[in-house]
Amino acid sequence: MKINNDNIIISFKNLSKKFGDFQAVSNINIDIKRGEIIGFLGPNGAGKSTTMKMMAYLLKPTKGEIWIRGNGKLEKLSNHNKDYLLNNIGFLIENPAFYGNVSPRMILKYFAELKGYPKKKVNQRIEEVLETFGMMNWIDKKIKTFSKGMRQKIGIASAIIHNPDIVVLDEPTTGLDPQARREIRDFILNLKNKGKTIFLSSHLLYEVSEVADRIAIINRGKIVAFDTLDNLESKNQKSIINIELLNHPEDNELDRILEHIREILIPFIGVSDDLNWLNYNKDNKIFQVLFNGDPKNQLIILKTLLRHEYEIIEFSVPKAGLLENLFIDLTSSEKTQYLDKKFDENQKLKEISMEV
Amino acid sequence: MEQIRILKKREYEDTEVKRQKIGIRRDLIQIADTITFELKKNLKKLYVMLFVYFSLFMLSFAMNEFLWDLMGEFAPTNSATLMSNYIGGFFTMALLISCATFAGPIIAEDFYRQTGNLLFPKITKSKLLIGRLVSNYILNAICIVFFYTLVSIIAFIKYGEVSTTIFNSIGWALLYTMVLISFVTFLSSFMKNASFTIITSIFFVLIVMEMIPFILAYSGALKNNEIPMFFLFNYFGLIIGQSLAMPIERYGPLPQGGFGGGEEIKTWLTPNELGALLGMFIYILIFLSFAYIIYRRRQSKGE
Ligand SMILES: Nc1ncnc2c1ncn2[C@@H]1O[C@H](COP(=O)(O)OP(=O)(O)O)[C@@H](O)[C@H]1O
Ligand SMILES: [Mg+2]
Repeated sequence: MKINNDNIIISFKNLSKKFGDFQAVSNINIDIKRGEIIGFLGPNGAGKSTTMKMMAYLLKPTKGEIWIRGNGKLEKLSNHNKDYLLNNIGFLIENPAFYGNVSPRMILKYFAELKGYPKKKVNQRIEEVLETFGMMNWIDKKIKTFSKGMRQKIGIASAIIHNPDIVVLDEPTTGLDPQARREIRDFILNLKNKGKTIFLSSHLLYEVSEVADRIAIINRGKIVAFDTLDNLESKNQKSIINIELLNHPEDNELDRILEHIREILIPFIGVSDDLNWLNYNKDNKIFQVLFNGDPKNQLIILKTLLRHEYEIIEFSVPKAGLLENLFIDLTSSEKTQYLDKKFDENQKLKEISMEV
Repeated sequence: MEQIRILKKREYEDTEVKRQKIGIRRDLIQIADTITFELKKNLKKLYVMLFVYFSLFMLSFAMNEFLWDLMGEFAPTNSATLMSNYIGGFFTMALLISCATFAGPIIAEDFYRQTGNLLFPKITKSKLLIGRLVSNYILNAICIVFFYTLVSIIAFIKYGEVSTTIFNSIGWALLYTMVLISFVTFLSSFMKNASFTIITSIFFVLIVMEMIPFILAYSGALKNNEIPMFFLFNYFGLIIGQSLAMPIERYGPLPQGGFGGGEEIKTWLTPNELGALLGMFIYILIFLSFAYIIYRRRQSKGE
């Protein structure tokens, strides 16, 4: 993969991490552009935190690279340039505990100064940030007296206290009440308005879909989809009909049959003709028709085929392509076996629609 | 409802601020910031430790006064021997307690509940460790100076003078503190959390390492501990008390000896100056090197 886009400020190339024999992250390729919010969506244990830790240089990748833009050009993150490349990034990874017996002011001052924030302006900065979180009354209280939501806000504050251009937040709203969630969501949007680039992980679809420009879905270490929310949704709103005929077509007549089906169905599929919407799978002898998912079209397609005297013994639409359903399936681990197939289908769908 | 929220929340403005550039200056600032932060963070602990030192001082005071009344013959004859009564036993224990308490969390706390995830993207482990070691050292030094001040006051009240050997002693104490801190740091580098580190280090030095000379002596392996116990670093701690009035014979009867009532057991009472200096530096070097290597390789566990 070549990177020549000036807008890209972070790029993962074949990023992989193994813990012993366990492949926690495998071959991740993601480009993050300046000013966008990337939602990093996946169930628990999918490898989100591991990816972010590699980005923060807390873990070394077993394979692959992370490229970060520093001083105009993308550079490969390594031990000798990490201070400089990470200087402009703020991280909140997993659920770190703060020292209980210090105040937000003390710890944020320390963190800001570690990042070179001028000492004279540090206090003003801390007050500004805590003000936005409505936590001014707590600025000098001990953190051990704080609720989970308050701690989480201090966590986010600690990631942005030095005013970095890129912010990496790992499940910032997990385990919080709706009010705190909304505040944090607003804050993230607020950051985006300031032109920050945000890499935000979650295991809840709606959390990232509310804010993210693009969503990368990760499952068992692999990226299974990466696109804008609209594209993901529209792609997934389409469905596939699997059709099996009583007499499987011979190789020599296949082209003719495909041509004929294409001709008779084209008015009813409801998707762009540019797409390669009709396929035949020789392994299981099944025709696959991509259509817009509307049950009315489905019925017309069936009627049309029957009218042309196709002897159909199987006519099925594998359930639900909607992103939401997809993701709910994805988060229930018993189904992962089935899911892999599902994702393959999804990938195929993507491939189909990408052959433009 | 929506409006109220907007009214309540003021969007903060990012004032354009130039941050200190990466480089040696920033590195030094980071270390200095770490020192101040750690000092502030440990302020309460420091008060508690000063109280511990004071209590142990009062305990020694009571015991000394009480013992003199009972057995006049043991009464110290000058300020140096008086001070060595204070600085021998309870003081090294206090030193151990304070070093363990301050240094216990030094590495372990970064990995217990992932606090390190906040820190490591901001500062390298080596700078963090240097800053923390310095602040740890300062905290312990404050305790030591506090204790020695108490002791010299009592010596001055009793004898009208304070033996200048107190400076030898305090020097050794300051060096030995570094050995203890290094040892605790080493333990902290692989222990699960701070409390385990504190308990293990105190237990190990106070019980295990104190037992070994006795075990060696009574098992007959080293009948009279004729080899100096340089393989136990607390052997070098003996010089702190002894340097107040260096014994002429470094090899002599165990002060606490006479356990089974049988024959007298002799042992090395104190290392000599050069040996102590060298030995302590070697221990510091070994402990800190191992601690740093383990620290660098250690990764926080996922949730
Ligand atoms: N240090 C580690 N050693 C071994 N396995 C780990 C380690 N960290 C994470 N894992 C495993 O890697 C997988 C991905 O973890 P993680 O990235 O934390 O997932 P997520 O953040 O998406 O919930 C999990 O199965 C987890 O158990
Ligand atoms: Mg995680």
